[in-house]
This record gives sequence, structure tokens and C-alpha cells, in this order.
Amino acid sequence: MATVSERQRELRNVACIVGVDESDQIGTLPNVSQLSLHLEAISNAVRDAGLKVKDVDGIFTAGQHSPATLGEALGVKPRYVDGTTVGGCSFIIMVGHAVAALHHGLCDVAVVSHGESGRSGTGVTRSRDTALSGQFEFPYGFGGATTYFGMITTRHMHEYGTTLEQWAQVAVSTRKWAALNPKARFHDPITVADVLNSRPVSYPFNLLNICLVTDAGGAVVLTRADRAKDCAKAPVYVRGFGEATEHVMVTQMDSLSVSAATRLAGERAFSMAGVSSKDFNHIMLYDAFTSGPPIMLESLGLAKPGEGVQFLQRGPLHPGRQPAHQHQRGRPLLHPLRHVRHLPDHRGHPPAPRRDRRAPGPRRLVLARQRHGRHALRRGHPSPRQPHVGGREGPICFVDALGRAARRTESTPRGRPRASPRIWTLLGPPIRSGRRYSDAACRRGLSRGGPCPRCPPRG
Amino acid sequence: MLPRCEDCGHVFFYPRILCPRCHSRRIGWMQASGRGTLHSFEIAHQAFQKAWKIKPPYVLAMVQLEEGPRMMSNLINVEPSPKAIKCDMPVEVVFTQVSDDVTLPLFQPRR
Repeated sequence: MATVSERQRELRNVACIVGVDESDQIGTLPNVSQLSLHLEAISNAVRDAGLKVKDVDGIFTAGQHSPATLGEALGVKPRYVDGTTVGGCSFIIMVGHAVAALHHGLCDVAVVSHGESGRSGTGVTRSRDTALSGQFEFPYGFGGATTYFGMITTRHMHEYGTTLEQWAQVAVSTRKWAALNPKARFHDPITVADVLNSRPVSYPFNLLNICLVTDAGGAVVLTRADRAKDCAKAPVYVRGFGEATEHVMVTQMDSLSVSAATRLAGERAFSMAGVSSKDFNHIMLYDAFTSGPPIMLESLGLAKPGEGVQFLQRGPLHPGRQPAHQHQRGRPLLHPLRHVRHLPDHRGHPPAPRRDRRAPGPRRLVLARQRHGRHALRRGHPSPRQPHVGGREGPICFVDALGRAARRTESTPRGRPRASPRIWTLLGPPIRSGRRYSDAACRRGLSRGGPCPRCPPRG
Repeated sequence: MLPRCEDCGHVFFYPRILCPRCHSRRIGWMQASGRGTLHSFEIAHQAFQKAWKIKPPYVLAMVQLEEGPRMMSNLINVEPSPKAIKCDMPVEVVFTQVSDDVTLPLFQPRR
């Protein structure tokens, strides 16, 4: 069991996420360069935090554009930069890096930014590190994530007897989640047969097993806990994070069917946060391929080896049903934003009107209308398309395909970290207690005599 | 030929200048048997690189070599179907000349 040092535990709750947003648009955007996607996301997220771009003095990014490029384009001269690229999870591990930098005073306002013109390739220089794969993989026709994840998936099927139908079920459920999200590209329901009959790309994957590629940007703003009170919204404290790398080439993995990097990163994050994998009732996994979430659940110790799909089939995969649900909207919605995309939906937002007034200006109201579904989530009101959506959630775990996990907890309405995880899911009622009205804000609403806006009607 | 650590005996692939197990710099080469098992596979129905010239479907293979390490290759002389190909099936190397100056170690089912 991997643990972290006492000194890393001291980083618990010292910094928080205070702003989150996306590029102005998401989808196929041939007229928006990759750099512009970064800049749109950063400026929107900084505004979300109630800050100015000039306040940013730490820039964290990965991939093609260096933090220096972003700084130059933004017109700021950051005190601290980090551009470490370790794959798709780079942006998640940057949250931990930003917390460390903030804690030590190396910067005061950190922005983690991601922008990717993945679909249109506008302003993208195609280049990749081919030192090893160019010699040992490409000559045999490998190339791209599909050919590597497929290897892992075939081996998993061999070792545990998982089937193509089970993977297809993940895609079916993912699409159900997409139907709830106005920004998703596809909303029409699909069936297991649709997945199995879609165009074969590389056995065991058909087209509908594989993530979409999208043009999009996303950014997260962090600051130290003592400064968070100056920001527009209730902060989200970063309680734990962990990272690990194991391989670049899948031949070098200890085991194909269990990700050692995922396991180690999870254990480190849990160790820092002082929780175990059992404490979670809300998990968000990056679903680049349909086999990814089940294998990550197994690697994290949330499901027994080989039983990730069964774990999901018991309910978590479907909207409206169950506690430890997965937030599987990455695949039908978009690929490049990765987890950054998911943050806004899950931040704790007190429903009190006073807070809403403190949100900056008319722009936010416009956004709220445009992004009606998402903002309904943020404010804890049920939306017409999401009748059972609740307001606040418990601790959330983000896990990336390559294995790094970052964990964070909610704050209370007063902005203090909670002593113990609260058991709210995206779907509403607190699960462990089995009561609908346990949230303090919820009770306040009731005491004023009106129906609780966040709970389904009784009777 | 496979690289082998002269100190701890660890056989590894791809080649590098130190042993990934004991970190010794004393690395030698050993003759490999050319035998192994099919650790995992995919059946590609499209090219994944612009330079790829072989017509799909073709079989992407991860081979577990008898000596220990794994390597990527292709499985040839086999019907590209999950019915005909199973994980852990025995395979053997076929050195295949693909151009004037490139010969690749491909694998086929062992008889």
C-alpha cells in the first residue's frame, strides 16, 4: 500500500479551486486556434472566480503550448510555471503541482489550462515523441491510443472473461448521461447491438467504444485557502492528490489488466486525504475507451479484479439510480477537456441567493441560460432535463486513463472543509443516510415553508 | 538477440544502457529462442498511420517472449479473426524483409 509522507499530508486543504470554466464553445471549431481555446478557458475561469487575468501569477499546462506561450498570449509574466507533459492526465496532476506551489508561496493565483483543437487541428503542430515507439511499435502498425488500449482490453477479456457485450453496456450508459447534457454532441440513445454493429476499428473496439475528438478548452483557477474568501464562489478544497507513472509503452507494464500507476496514484491520494477507496460514493473516471472505467475501478480497489463491469452494472452507470455513479460524459461529449470539463458540475454551490448576487454580473446570467443544465447542477436546482439532480456531493475522485488520481472534497457553505465526507451524489439524496433532507441548506428551505427545491416531490 | 544484465541476469526489451531491475551498467546480449506466447492482440480494420501500407485487416500482437520480456509485433499466417487467435497461444518468430534494408521480427502460430 503506497502512502505519502507527513509533509505531503500537510498540503491537505491548504489550497482550493475557486474558478472553473470552458472555452466559449465546444465542438467542431475550425475557426478557433488551439491557443485561443486556452485563452477563452482561462479568461472565463478567472472571471468565474471573480478575479482578473492580471491576478494570475502561476501558469500550469501541458501538451503543445508551453506555459510561456500562454503567459505571453495572456500578457502576464508569471512567477511560476509548470508544463510537464505525461499524457492525458497531465492536467489533473497539475492540480497537485499547483497546490504545492501555492502552499510555498511560489504563486498566489494558479491557473491550470487545457486547450486542444483535436478535431479541427487549427493552430496545431503535429509532433510527438517517437524516440521509442517509432522503433518498437510503429513499424508493426501501432499508432494512437486505440491500438494500445485495445491490447489491455483483449488481455482483460482473456484473464477475466469479460465480453464485448459488457464493454458495449458502458457505451450505452455513457450515452444516457450524454442525453442529460445539452453540450454533448450526441443525445440519441443507443443499444448494445448498436455498439456491436458499429464500424469495426480495431478488435476489440468498434467505433462506439472509442471517445470522440473535440475542439475545446478548459481551465481551473486555484488559490490558497486564506485568499479564497475574496473570490466569487464557495471554494472547493483540495484534500488529496496522488500521481504515478509506470510506462509509456504498454509492453513495459507489470500487468496489462491492472494499471499499477492507477493503483499507486489512488493509494497516494487516499493516503494524503486520510480516506480509503471505500469512502467514496461519487467517482468520475475518464472514459476514453469503454474498457477504461471498469479497469480503473479494479485498479483503484473499488471493484474486485475482473468485476469492474459487474460493479457498474449493479447500477452506478445509469442516471437516476445509484450512489457511486460514474460521471461518464467525456466520451459522448468531448475528449480533450478531460477532467477539467467535469469540475464545474461538481463544485459545491450554496443555494443561498446572497451568494448568487455575489457572482460577477450579467455575463454569468447569460451563461447560466446557455448552459442551463450545468448551472442547474451548480446551483442545486433541478432542471427540466435532470429532475433528480441534487446540489452537493461528497468527496470526488478523478482518475485518468494513465493512472493519476486527484481527489478533492467539498466545502461547507461557510467555506470550511468538511470533517467527514458527505454522502451526496449528483443524483440528489444522501445515500448512506437514506434521508432526503439532511443537508442544512435544504432544511433551511423547508423551515421557510416552501418545498425543498432540490428534492423530488414527496408522495 | 536480447539484452541481458550481466550482474543480475535480468533479460529485458527494449535495449537500454542500464538494467531496469538492478540498474547495473554491465549489459550483454544473448541469443533468443524466437519462441513465445501471444500475450494480447488486436485485429486492426484500418491503418493507424499514414505511412502504413499493408491492407487491413491485420493483426497487432504483443508477444510474451520465452526469455521474459514482451514486445510488439504482428501475427501473420493466421486468419484475422478472434475465433482463430487466442491469448497465450504459442508463437514463433518469422524474420520478414519488408524493404531493402529493413527486416522485422514478425510472429506466426507455432506448430
